[in-house]
Amino acid sequence: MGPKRPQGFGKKAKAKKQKVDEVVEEVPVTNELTVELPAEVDSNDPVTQLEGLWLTWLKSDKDNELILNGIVHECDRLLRNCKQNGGNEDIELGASFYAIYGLSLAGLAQFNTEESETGVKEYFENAIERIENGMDKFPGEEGLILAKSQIILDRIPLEYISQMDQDSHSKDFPDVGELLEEATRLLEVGIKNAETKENYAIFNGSTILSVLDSFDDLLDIIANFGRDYNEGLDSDAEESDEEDNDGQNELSTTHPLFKVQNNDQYQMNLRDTIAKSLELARKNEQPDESVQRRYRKKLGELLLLEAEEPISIYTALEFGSDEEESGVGEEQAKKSKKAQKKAQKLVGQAIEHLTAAWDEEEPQSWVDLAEAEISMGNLFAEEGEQEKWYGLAEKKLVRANNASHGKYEEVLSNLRGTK
Amino acid sequence: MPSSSVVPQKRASSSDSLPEKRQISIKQTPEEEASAKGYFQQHIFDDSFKDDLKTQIADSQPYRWGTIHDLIDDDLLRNVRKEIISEISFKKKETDIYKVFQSGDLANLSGMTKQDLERLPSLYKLRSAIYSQTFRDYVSYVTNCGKLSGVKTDMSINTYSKGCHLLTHDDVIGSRRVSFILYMPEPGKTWKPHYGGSLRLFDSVVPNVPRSDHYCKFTPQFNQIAFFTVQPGLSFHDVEEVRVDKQRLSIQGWFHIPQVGEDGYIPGEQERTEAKSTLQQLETKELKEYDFPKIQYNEIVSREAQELINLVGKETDYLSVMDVDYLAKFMNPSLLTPASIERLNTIFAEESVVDVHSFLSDDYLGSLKKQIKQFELNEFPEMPNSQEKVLFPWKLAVPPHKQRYCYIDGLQKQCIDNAESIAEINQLKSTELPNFELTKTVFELLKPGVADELAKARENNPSLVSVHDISMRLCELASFFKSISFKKWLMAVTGFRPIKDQILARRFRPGHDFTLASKLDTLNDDHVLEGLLEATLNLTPSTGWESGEFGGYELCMSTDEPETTETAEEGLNEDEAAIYKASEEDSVVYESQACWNKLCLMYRDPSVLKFVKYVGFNAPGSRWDINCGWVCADDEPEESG
Repeated sequence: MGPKRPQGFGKKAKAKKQKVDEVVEEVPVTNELTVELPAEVDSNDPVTQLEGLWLTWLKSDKDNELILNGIVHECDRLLRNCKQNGGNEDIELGASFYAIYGLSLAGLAQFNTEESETGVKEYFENAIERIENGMDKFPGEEGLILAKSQIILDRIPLEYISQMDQDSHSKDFPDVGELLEEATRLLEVGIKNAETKENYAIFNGSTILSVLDSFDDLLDIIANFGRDYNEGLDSDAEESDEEDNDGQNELSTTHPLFKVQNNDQYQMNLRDTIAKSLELARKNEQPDESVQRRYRKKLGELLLLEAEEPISIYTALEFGSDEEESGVGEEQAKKSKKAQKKAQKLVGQAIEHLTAAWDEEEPQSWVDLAEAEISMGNLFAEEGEQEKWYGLAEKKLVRANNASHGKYEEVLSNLRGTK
Repeated sequence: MPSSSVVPQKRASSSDSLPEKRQISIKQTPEEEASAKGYFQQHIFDDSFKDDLKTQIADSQPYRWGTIHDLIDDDLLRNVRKEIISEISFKKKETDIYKVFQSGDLANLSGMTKQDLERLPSLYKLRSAIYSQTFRDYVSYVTNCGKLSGVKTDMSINTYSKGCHLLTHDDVIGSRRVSFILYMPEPGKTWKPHYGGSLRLFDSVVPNVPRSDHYCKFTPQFNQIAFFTVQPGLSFHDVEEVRVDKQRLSIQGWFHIPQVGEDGYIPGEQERTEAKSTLQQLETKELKEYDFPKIQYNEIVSREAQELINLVGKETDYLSVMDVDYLAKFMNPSLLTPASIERLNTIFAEESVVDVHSFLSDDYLGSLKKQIKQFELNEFPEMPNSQEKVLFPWKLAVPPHKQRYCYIDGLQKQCIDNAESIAEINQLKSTELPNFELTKTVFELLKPGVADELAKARENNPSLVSVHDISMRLCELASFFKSISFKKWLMAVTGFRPIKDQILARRFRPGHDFTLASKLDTLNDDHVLEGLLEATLNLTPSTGWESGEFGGYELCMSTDEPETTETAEEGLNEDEAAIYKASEEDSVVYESQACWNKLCLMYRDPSVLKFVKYVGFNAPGSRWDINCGWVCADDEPEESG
């Protein structure tokens, strides 16, 4: 007899989704996780396996609820079965266990926003409870402190801001400023403890980056609260043909986000934290290049954000059509010069970071740098200097445009029109 | 928010796409008719405006179409937009031919209920304006299309957000006479061409065969209407993918042929139109002459065929030492052991499909992944974006109401941009057999020809690379799939004896390429199996395809009956009334995202539809693959299990 033959799957049972992945030795299978394990550990140890699973989640697109559910269930099981709790498994539950437990529970909240507000609240409260249990057992442990900080940073948008609208009143919500204060304080303590213990590894992977992402996202959500998201922002800075839409973003003084939206301190805090993390990440024997690039990209973006204000002052004074503004008195000239200098410094620093964030396989990183160079060009009135920066940007955009088959055509023609 | 994996739905009517069948005939009251004219901007009724429009339409290309700016009273249309945004929920619909957000609770505005009228008063006014005698006569006059029905109305609301698209089709279904789209992107802002979402019109090579590149492109603005006479086999158009994070909201619909009892009703007219519909034309033999690549399975040379016959019924020993040595140069060696061959065979016999990961060996692949990735990022000349820019030995798959992608078939150069040269190919020239070794040499010989240009371009961008090196590697792989040794392995794994084959190296470019769902041609030959043994070697180097958001996945749907079934035309929206109509029993039997180094082997019987989803403009790169099909001998009766 020769090999067996199939019938053809149209003739097989209907609606049966194929699960047909074949494993060849040494080869991973679709739908099955490739679990990354920390080096030099016993891969049979259930806590190590849990850590590997968690690492896999952190590095994934974070869109698969099943993985998170699996992690939470495994945490439940380990907690139940460990000898400390009267079980019969010889498992030692360390600080990382509680951190993973808390973070994965908090992570589940985002998949359950539609159930009810209580659902989200419960997830977060349980998450914090797990972390605090761990903190009682392992006081001063940076992994737990950072985890708590992240849970608070994730909780603010998901549980509170999602329930707000333009007319919300601060009396109906917890004090967002206070929560942010707590989160940033924990972040600071966590980093300090890690530094003291020379635990630089957490700066060289997803742990800190994940907290910083949450922090960054939150500040972004707060800054853009009230803005119309129906029409996207990603194509170009389009000016409305009509005089409306302005003032959409202004919150009343009683709005729960009013204070935090008007406080630059958090941006500064985030920037300093990233800079510190970058510094500590470099103390690793083998600093991860992609992690370094991510820190650098964030720093570049934040510096550009910070430069926005002096840029707009300079632009208004130098090129403003408004009579008041263009009447170039000595005072105005001074003010303009000062703003220009400040902006150039910030944009210059941003360019430095974005140059370091360059990724040969990631055209977006070329575009990020080109945009910063255009901003720099805009800060020079002299043609020569301006041309130089535009020229640098153009080269990168041409390359990115080629890589993305025309995505930056419009930006390029604008730039060429400007020249 | 987490994004859920896209499980595409079948393209056709289904109970959930049509919430309930509704009566779509309406009759305007005299009061409605009287006030309808007031809902339009009055300038459109000026005689000179009308006549200018009529002339423009008569002179328009590639077929008769027209547009009117500022059609509806501005306040009314802004209110319509507000009502839609606040009252109507949209649901994503995705099939092989489109991705769009449709008004889930109001599939067809003809079916508006009393409650709908209360919550959507402006929309109701708009509907009565569009289907008023005044406007129907207006459209009829400027398009010269004949009378239009006032009782059969057909409108729906769609929004195209980033990534949404509708591929080429001609709108010909049932009694449709004029198609129209009233655009409502954000008022007060200009919708720019680079946002995408334009209406693109296609000229035809011959009727029913649209050209691959659009003839013209129309970028819509708020309160602008575009319309054209539905012409069987000619009125091909598409909606360009929206490329940015903006909403292109529109109301679109049709004016129908007058119905029984209406002014202008002509008995038998509807039936005659239907007979010409694309649906019926799509699969006729004559029109297949315009399909490239041709579905053409070539006989395996007799010496090799005989060698395979000799293996039938043998337990093992399929692969000689020489075969294994040859295969091991390409394939993962763990796939060549008797144990894994047996294991693959067991799965394949049970499931009719098997995914083999890490199919090619690391040694063989070397830096190929990086090479293709680098090529995509630094392509010189730039990625071809029209038919003439696809340079031989690469070719472009046509026509676009069925497929568009780049391929290497190992065959001679063919001119396919006009009817005469296509006739010559079909009727005069003999088709030679594919030769990928030779094609590889062609690439090698062509490479120095672009060297000077490349060197010059590298002054600005030193990273630029031409397509030649990776094309040679693809040819090499195509040759490998044609080898007798691979066919023996295939026979061992599948239990089928291949007698004819067709191999293509394919590239699906972002923002351009796809194949629409198609079923196999039934082969009327008792000696061959009615199904087809197929393999796709995925060679997409980029990542980020898993969610399906950017398309590029290969999908198979099983249909209960291979024959298309008649679907009630009433109530269908344009998007639902796609070119193919499958039965209600469709189900997804296989889905595979674009990925690296995975071989999918399947035995597809004629009832299974297969397609590669349109690759979105913002996709992380092109989808690359080697696509193989083998007609197999019917050596033994099919087993029941």
